[in-house]
Amino acid sequence: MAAVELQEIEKSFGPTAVVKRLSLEVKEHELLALLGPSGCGKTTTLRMIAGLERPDRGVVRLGGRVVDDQASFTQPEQRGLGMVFQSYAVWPHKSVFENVAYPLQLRREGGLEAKVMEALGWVRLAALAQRRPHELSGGQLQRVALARALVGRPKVLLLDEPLSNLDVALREELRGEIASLRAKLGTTMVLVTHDQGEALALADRVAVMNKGVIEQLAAPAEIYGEPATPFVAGFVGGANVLEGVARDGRFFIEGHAFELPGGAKAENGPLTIAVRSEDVAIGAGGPELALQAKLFLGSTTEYRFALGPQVLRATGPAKDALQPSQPAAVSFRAARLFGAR
Amino acid sequence: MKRALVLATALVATVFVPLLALLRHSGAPSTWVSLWLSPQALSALVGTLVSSVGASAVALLFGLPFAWLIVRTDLAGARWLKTLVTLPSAIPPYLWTMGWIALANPRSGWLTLAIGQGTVDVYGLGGIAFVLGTSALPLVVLSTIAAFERIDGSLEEAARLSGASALQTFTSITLPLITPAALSGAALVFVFASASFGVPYLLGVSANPPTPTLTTRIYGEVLMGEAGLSRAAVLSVELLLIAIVVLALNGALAKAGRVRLPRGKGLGQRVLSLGRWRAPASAAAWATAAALIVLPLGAIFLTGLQPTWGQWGSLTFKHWGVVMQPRTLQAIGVSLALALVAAVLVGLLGLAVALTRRRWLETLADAPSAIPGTVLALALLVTFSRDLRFIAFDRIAFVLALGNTFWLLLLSYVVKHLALGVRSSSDALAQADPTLGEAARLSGAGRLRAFVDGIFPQLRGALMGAVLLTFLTCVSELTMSVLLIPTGSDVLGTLLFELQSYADPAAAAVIASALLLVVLAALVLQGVVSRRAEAR
Ligand SMILES: Nc1ncnc2c1ncn2[C@@H]1O[C@H](COP(=O)(O)OP(=O)(O)O)[C@@H](O)[C@H]1O
Ligand SMILES: [Mg+2]
Repeated sequence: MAAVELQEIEKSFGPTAVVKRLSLEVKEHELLALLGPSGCGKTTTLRMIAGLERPDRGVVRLGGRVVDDQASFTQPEQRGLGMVFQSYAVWPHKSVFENVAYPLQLRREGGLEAKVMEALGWVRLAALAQRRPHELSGGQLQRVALARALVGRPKVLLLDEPLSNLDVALREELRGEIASLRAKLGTTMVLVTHDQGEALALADRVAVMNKGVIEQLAAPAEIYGEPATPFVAGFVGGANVLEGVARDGRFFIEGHAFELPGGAKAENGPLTIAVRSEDVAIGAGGPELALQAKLFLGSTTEYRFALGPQVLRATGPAKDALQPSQPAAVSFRAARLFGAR
Repeated sequence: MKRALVLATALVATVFVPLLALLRHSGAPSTWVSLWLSPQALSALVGTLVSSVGASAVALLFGLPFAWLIVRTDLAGARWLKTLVTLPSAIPPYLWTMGWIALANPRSGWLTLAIGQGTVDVYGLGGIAFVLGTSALPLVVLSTIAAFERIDGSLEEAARLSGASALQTFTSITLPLITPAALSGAALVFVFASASFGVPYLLGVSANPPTPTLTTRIYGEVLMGEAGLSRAAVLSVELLLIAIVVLALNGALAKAGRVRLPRGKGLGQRVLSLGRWRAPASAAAWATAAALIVLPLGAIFLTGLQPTWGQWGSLTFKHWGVVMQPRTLQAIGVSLALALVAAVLVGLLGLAVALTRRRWLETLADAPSAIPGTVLALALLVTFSRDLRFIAFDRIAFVLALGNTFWLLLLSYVVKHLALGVRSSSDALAQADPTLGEAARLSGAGRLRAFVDGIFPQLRGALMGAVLLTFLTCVSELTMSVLLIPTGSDVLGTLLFELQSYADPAAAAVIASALLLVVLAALVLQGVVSRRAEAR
């Protein structure tokens, strides 16, 4: 039975449809990431699971039970969920201990102190139990939020960009902590993020969202290795997405003709291809493009070629004699073909 | 630094030296306590404390629901309701008193007649607290609205996800988060109420039995001449101490609470849909606001149009002749002139203080606004009632004779309201973009020119607001004016006060109506100007 099930959910704010007929199942003990660019409807989807937003149409089920359809609605506090917000949402008028104790107090559970201290132990904050929120750093605040969301042992934990307000080092650290907590508690998690690295590293499955629909739902390796749509290829793999025309086994774009690599077959007609920057070969034949810019990235160098108004990115070795505005022969070692759009 | 010193010296000479003179006038501190504990002084103290606590309670009672309904619900016309309930602070408290006297005096008030004699009586401590509380309503409403707006929506949503119902969330999360702001608003109401003079005078002195407060008692002592003056000084010290203690408590409370809400607007705020309660809730809120604000103002207008005081009948403009009497015209002229000069000086001096960018000087310039008007006026009175002779360089002697002149009144208006100019300038200056001035310098402008072209335009809006507010407050000032007005002259406040309490309430209502029209017109003008500025 699915821990979370969304069935043909739709949501609009005024005239703009934010989530469009979206269906999704999150299995028990799974960590599913909702990945997509800012504004694509991830938070709205998560909030509909939480009951903080009501869908215009569709059904939400938790553990097989209907919590929201057009006829019935279960209040957020009765859904048995935990949630971590992007803005921490730690209550400034309560101490760390009081923040974490709050969900248990509402349930009048016994053994409150032990349970709170255990939860604080999970996030290594036991020593700071009596601190006030204004005395904590951003990373510590997010840990408090995590402990508060988990202390009541929710069936499902919802995480809305939990790491994106933190600096890079803290982000890595907390990412590891979420992974180990999950291993320890086995909680089902839905993680919303716009950071593909975060999604690929943490999730069992990734749902890539774009403009209110899920473009691909698969395991991280599959998302990265076999993107189902040009959007997924561009957003997750960072590939060059090129729209042109196929004719006689060649790909025409902006007046240039590229050989399709590996003897790939394409019917004549409009064609979109995705080429990773590391699959762009420089100086191995092909049309000559002008080098626009050269960005030294440490272990590699990124070259940007002008392809009409578009930019073609290529990764090459750090040391290379290529100079800006110099033309160079460019070809593709590998590409994914998506046919006409 | 030189400019800062000059400004500081002027402030010390016009505020702090007079305060010291007042202390000297009050005799040895050992004698203070016995006077404070005398029955008369005690009853005045009780009057002040009870009416001020009551005013704070009234302001909280009405202010909290208004703030919540305005910010957090889909109440009908919430924006306009906010405008209406923040109106009272622009109108002098004694005008509200006049309105409530017309409505609820025990003999001929319209409410009294409507409900039945012996039911309502605006005179006495209850009435004083009520009128002060409603006229200080904006202090609570505005600070609470600001707190509501700064609460991030996710703070409340996190409580829901933790298992709290909507009501539990409100009581355990929302309410504690706005409490510090509401309490601090209430403390300001207390300070305002304990320093007010017109309301307790009009509603306390002729109450049965008379209910004195410290301010009205001080006024009574001053009227008794030289012997009363030292007793008045001792009571002033008491009044000043109350203000200082409450403000200090408020500051300590704010620090101890440490509930730091983020600046600016909270994200993701939810507006509660009132659903089928929307119509009744909107009606109740608007009716309450109308009863507290529109009703007393309407009563003033109607009183001015009644044929005889206290009688319903065909309305008439016969009382409006009073506006054209020489005495009235002279009072209007003096008030307008004094308020205009004071407002411009407050703007200029406030800007000058802020431009020195010295916090100690800003604090020094802020301080007089916390001194009750009665205390400040009395200090100026005892200091400058005699001519002061200065001798410079052993030969040039000059005499400073401010006593019994309009100069002293002007001085009191300026120092009392200086904080308005300082705060608005220093806030605007903190937000102003200094690079605009620097760009002007690099384009070849001199220091002054760069300020005028680059910086001043960014301050103009805030400064104009402070000048307008000072003008509105001063044009109807009463508390300091009754003590400092030159013998035989009037300003609008004192004229109204005299007509209302002794001579001719109908004539007072007419002048009050005219004053109200001016204030409302000024507010509309300010609204239009600031909206246009926002649109740019
Ligand atoms: N309460 C709201 N009212 C109006 N528009 C909203 C509201 N919440 C979200 N939106 C809009 O819906 C779109 C999707 O928002 P969101 O789900 O927050 O995106 P994401 O989390 O993927 O960045 C955005 O364009 C946003 O502006
Ligand atoms: Mg989001």
